[in-house]
Amino acid sequence: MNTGKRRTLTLAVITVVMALSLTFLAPSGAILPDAQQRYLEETLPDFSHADNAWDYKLDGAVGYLASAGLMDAIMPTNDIAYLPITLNEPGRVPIAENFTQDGYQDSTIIVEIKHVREYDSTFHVATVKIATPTQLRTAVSNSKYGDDPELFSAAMNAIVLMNGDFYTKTSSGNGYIVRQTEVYRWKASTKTDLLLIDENSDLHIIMHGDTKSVQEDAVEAFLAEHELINAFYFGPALVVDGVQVDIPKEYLGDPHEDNPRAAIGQLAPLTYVMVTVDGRTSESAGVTVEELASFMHSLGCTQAYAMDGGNSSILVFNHQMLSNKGSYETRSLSDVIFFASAIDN
Amino acid sequence: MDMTFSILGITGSLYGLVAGISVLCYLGAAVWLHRKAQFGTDAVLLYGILGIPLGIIVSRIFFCAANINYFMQTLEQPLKMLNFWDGGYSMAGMLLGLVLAALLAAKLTRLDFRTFLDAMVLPLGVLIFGLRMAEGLTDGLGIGRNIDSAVVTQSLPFLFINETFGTLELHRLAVFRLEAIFALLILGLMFWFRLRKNRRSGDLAMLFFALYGAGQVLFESMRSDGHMVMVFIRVQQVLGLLSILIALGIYCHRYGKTHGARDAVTAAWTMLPIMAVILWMMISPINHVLDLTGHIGLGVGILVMMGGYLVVFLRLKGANLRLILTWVAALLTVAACVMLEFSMDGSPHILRDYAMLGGFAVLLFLYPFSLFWTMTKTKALS
Repeated sequence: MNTGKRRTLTLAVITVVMALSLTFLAPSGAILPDAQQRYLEETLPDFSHADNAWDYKLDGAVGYLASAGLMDAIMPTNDIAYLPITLNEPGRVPIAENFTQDGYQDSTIIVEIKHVREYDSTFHVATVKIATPTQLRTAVSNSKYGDDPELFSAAMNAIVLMNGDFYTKTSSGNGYIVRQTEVYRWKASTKTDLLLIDENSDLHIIMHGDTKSVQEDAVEAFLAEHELINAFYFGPALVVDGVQVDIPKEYLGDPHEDNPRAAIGQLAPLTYVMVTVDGRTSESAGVTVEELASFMHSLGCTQAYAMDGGNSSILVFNHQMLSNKGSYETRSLSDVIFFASAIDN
Repeated sequence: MDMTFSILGITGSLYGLVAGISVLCYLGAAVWLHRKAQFGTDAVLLYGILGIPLGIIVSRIFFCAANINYFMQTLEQPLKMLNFWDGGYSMAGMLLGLVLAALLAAKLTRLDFRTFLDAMVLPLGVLIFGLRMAEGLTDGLGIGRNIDSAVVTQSLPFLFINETFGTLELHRLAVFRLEAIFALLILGLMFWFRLRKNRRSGDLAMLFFALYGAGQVLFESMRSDGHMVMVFIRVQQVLGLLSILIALGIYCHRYGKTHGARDAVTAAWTMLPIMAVILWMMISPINHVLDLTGHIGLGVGILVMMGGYLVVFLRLKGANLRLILTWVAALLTVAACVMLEFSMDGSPHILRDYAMLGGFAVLLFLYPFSLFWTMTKTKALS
């Protein structure tokens, strides 16, 4: 074999070896899911103290139902099976004939829908009472860009559904992002308030502080007493322990401009409101976060927290959009919060 | 389905295996196609030896740059960027790595870079086809939106991946398969372009990148896998648009040289309609993306900068009407793509919107291609 051929052969062998080494070097164009999980686990604290998982504290639930209207309703908490906590597990199929234009009711859930005009804007208000904490649920799209809200609603057997914080599918940034106990991110923020939902589906708000240790310590204290089912990273906090919060001058999402908004609040144990505000249309200008906080406070929320607004602000009832987007597009949702029935199908 | 296997305790992936085989097929095709060319097999193999590591490294750099916050802020573990074996690559980065490899190989073998690059892009569709098909062997890469049209999903089942979501069966677009088919189309078109007489050196490479970029404008929009997305911006779509505009810029420059046109004057004239659009955005928003009504200062700043440029370069002589019209049309098409892209999410007519975006992508490619076509009607100067 002459020198030229030997050189060509050598180059060919090197090329083949290098090309086939891609088998071990390039497993995917995206980061592998198990690698992402490994990365995440390196940032997670020790959850071993949470041995009291699923020790639901429902004893006092019926006794809390004290005020007027929907909150007077007594839910038969006995003999109702809890829904599985698994992420993206749909609720039970609701009874189709029980839906009216203004709400839904079965033996495990009551939903009332109202449309209110305030601040030259349309507020869509869903007041919800559930029998078991597992009926407040979250779901995450399998698609990173999200799915159509009505599709989400149908897939999850949701009775009423709203957008979440959108952060389940973004890989970067701070925040505690948890959905149905699955952790997506675990990092304190000095700029953003947190919403934590515990095993009783009670809402807990943790404000941001000057240092990350403020949220880290607060989350640790929460975990000492509760199981964390869902955590959201958007805000700001609107109402904390019944007191309306002053909205910070600087916060994400232009809080001091009129925009479509979304918020969730808790009125009492197992009793909630989901609120969205139409905006950027001639019929509905949208509101500032201050105005949203005032509205949530006026509803009687003990805790209230703003979710992703703008085009993400979406409320769906009986698989139909209530939010009016005008000429703007309906944004696909990467994650949602919804209430489902727990009736035995 | 497990996408990995083990050899001697080392974990390999089907994606990587198919990628490796695709590289070999591509280089084999390049060797065979150019076996009678002035450069020999060795130059192609040298290009391959340089191209594999450079493709991997630049591809990884692009991916990490697009996800820098993930490594720097979320994980606070920047060294994870070196974990090549954990996955995370960009196709645009790989292509740039191959261009660098061609440059180095041409230097080392004393070949003309542009001629060598033309030769190497000719069968590049083979590699892209293989890499796109390999995406089907990953966890969700290359998957698109749900299409709710039984007629389409039943008549073209090959283009959909079925997925159970809660109580529903979804039909997500298998965008990676569409991109693989498009890679074969690119391959065929490159051979057709090669038949054109009076080609200048570098023409094939520019047409390749313009064509690939046009495809990216459409296909990246279809993907909903969140790959290479910064905030709401799909990075590979932007790079696709850029590659078209760069190709157009080079063709305009070449065309201008043969027609005595001055680039700066053409660019200055092009700015007049763009300034009118910016002025309109300051008075009345086109949509929420192209809305300068709340940012008048920004609009005025851009207008002042463009006005200054006009004062310096605008002359009545030296401009070429065709180039001006081509640029204006190209920029308007880019604006149309941006508007369509930002209004597509949640659209009730998603297939119609994809068809429109596909039409715009074809137009974008035709701008540089039309100049190429005209110039090949005259004999090359060099």
